[in-house]
Amino acid sequence: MTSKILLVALSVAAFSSCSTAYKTGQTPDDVYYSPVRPVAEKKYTERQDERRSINNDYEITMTIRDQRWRNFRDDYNYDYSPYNYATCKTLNYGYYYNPYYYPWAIYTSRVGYSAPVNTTPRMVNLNVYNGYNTRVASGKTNGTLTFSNSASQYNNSNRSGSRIGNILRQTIETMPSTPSSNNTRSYTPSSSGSSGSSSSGSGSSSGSVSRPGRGG
Amino acid sequence: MKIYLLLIFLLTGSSIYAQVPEDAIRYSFYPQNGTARNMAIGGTMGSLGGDINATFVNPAGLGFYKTNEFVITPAFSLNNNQAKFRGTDSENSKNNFGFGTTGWVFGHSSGKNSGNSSAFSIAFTQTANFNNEVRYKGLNDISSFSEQFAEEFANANAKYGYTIDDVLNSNSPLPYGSAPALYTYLIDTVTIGGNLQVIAAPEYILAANQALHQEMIQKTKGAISELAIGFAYNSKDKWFIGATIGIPLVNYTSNTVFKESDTSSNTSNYFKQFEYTDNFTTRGTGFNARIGIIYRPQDYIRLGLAIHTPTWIFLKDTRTTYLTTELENPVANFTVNSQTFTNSQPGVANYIQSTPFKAIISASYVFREVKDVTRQKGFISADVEYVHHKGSRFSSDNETVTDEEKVYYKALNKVVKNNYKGNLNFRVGGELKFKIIMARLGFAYYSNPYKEAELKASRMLLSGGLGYRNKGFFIDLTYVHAMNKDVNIPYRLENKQNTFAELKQQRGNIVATVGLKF
Repeated sequence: MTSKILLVALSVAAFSSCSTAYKTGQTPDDVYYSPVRPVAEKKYTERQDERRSINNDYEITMTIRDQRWRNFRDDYNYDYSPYNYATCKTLNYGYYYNPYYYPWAIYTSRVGYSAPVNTTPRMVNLNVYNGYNTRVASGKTNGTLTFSNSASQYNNSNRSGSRIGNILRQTIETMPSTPSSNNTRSYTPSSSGSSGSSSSGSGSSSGSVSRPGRGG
Repeated sequence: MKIYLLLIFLLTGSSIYAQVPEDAIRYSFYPQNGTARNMAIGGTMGSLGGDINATFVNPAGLGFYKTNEFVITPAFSLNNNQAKFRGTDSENSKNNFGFGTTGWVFGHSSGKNSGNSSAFSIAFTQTANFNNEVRYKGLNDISSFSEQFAEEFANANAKYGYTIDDVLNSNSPLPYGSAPALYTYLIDTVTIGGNLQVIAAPEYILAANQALHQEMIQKTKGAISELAIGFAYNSKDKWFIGATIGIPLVNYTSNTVFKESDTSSNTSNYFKQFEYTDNFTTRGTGFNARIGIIYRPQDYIRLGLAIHTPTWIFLKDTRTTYLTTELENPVANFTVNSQTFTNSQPGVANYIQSTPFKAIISASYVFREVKDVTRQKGFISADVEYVHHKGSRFSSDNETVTDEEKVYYKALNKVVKNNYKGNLNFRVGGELKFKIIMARLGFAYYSNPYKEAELKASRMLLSGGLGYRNKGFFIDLTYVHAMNKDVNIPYRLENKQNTFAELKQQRGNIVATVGLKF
C-alpha cells in the first residue's frame, strides 16, 4: 500500500511539474511516427534550471549566515556534536569516536546474548515429486535412467460411492479401526533411552519443549 | 552421528534444506502487465515499439521515441475464483488495486536529417500481482493432510535418527509441521503389528473407510514490482537496438488455513478435527537484464527479437505456523505455534532463486507510418514467447554452505527440471486509429508449464480498449478479461495417490493510462 501511495504522489508531482509542448498542433504518436521535439520545450527547462540555481544560491548564502540552515537539506542529519561525531540519526553505525574521552571506538549497540534465529525453510519431501524418486527405476532409455514414482499418481475420487451414502455409513460405524500395519513410517527410539511414547512430556536436553499430557 | 548432526543444527542454526518446487512457478507463470494501450493489444510489444512498456518487453522499441513522455497506469482487478476439489465446487471473489507501467521516456534526435536517435526510460511496473483468495473443500477417504507431517518425521527419524525429544526442541529441525503435530498429538508413535510406527490421528478415520472433510483457504497478497532503466539506439530508422537493467522487488505474503474434521458421529475414533495455519512472507530484491533488436526491412514492417535473462532474486522467508488439534477418546484439545520451536521468534530462511529466461520473436505491420496523425490508420502485431520454466534454480544464501545443503539444492533443482517444461506463449493485437480516437483489440494465450499431463494450467486473455490523444495529452482505457486455469495441490504424500483442486479464475482487469508529451 505504501508503494502505491508513493507512486501516486510521485505521479502527481511529475504531472504538476511537467508542461506539454504540444498544446497546439498535433500530438505525436510514437508508435507510428516520432517527430523531433520542438525547441520551445528546451527554453522552459532552462527557465526551470535558472530558478533552481537561484534557490540554491539563496540557501548557500543563508547557510553561511546561520548554522541552522546547514541541516535544511541534510539527508544524513548529522548531529554536529564535537564529542559524538561519526554518528547520525539515519545511518547509525553502532559506534562513535570521542578522542577527548577515549581514544578508541565506543560501541553504542547493546551487546548481549540473543537466541539464534531458526533458519529452517519451507521444505517438502522431494521424494513425492515426479522424476526424483530414484528408488523406482522404470527403465533405461538412450543410456539415461528414467524413473517412475507411484506417488506422482493422482486420484481426485473417493473410494466410496456417493457422498450421501458415504456419510450415512460413517455414522453407523462406532468402533475405532487401526491403521494398516504395512505403512512404511517406522520409528526407532533413540538408543539413549528416549521412549517416543505417546505420554512423552519430558525433555532431557536443554532447549527441549515438553509436550502436554495426552489426557484420559 | 545423530547427536553430531543435531548439534551442528542447533549450534549453527544453518539450514540443511531449501525451498519448495512450487516457488519456481510463482515467479514465472503470469501474464504480461503494461500500459493500458499495450494491454489492450494483448501485451504485444516484441516489435511494435513507441510505448514505454517496451522497457519490459523489447527495449529496442524505445528507439522509436524522439519525444519525451510521462505516463501513469492505475488498475483495478476483479477476481472470481472457482475451485473443484474431489467433486465439490467452491466459489469466491477478491478485488484489488494494482498498477501498470508508470514512468518517463526521454527521446533525443541526433539531428533533423541524420535519421539517428536515442531514447532513455525510467519505468516502474507491477510484473505480477499476487492478491488473491482461493477456497475449496471436499471429502477425502484416501489421505489426510496430517500424513505429510508423519512422513516428514518418520523420514527424519530414519535418515538422521531424530527422536520426538529431538524434534520437540526450542530450536527444532522440523519446527513448522512435525514439531507442532507431535506436540498436539496430531501425529504420534503407535505399536502396530509389533512395530513402532508414526501415525496421524486422522488415519483412524481412513482405516475405517470413512471420509475426512477437508477445507483450504489460501489468501495471498503482494506483488513483484520492477524498476527498470532502458536505453535504445535507432540507426537510420532501420535498426533499433536496446537494453534494460531491471531491479525487481518481491513482496509475497501467504496465509493458508487447512481444516480437517471427522465427518462421522463416532466419538471414540480418536480424532475430531484440526486447523493448521501457515503464515509466511517472502521479500527480496533482484536484478535482470533484457536486450532486444528491431529491424524495419521496409516501411510499415517491423521484426523484433528480445532476450530476457533470468532474474536473480535474493529472498528472505519469514514463517510462523499454528496448529490446533481436537482429539477424542479421550477428549483433549491442544494448541501450539511454531515459535515454540524456533526460539520464540519467527523462523527465517535466506536463499537465491533464479527465474527462467525468456525469448520473444515478433512482427508488426503499421499502416501509414507518417507524421500527420490524421493519416495514421492502425497496426497489427504478434509475439511468440518462449519461457524456460524448467530452468528456475535455487541456491543457498548462507555464508557457509554445507554438503547436505548442496545435496538438497541439487535435488530441488532436479525436481524443478523434471516437473516443469518450457512453454510457448502467444500474443496478438491491433489498433484502428481515427485521428485522435483509437480502438484496440487483443488476445494472449499462456500455455501449461507443468510437465505432468494430469495437471492442466493456462492463461487466456481477451482485451479491448479505447484511446484519446490530443493537445499533448493522452488517455487510454482498457478492459482485460483473463480466463485462468491452474491446479492447487494442498499436500503431497510419498506412498499414496495425491489429490489436487482444479482452479478456474475469471479475472477482470480495468486499466487506465494517463500520459503527457513534453
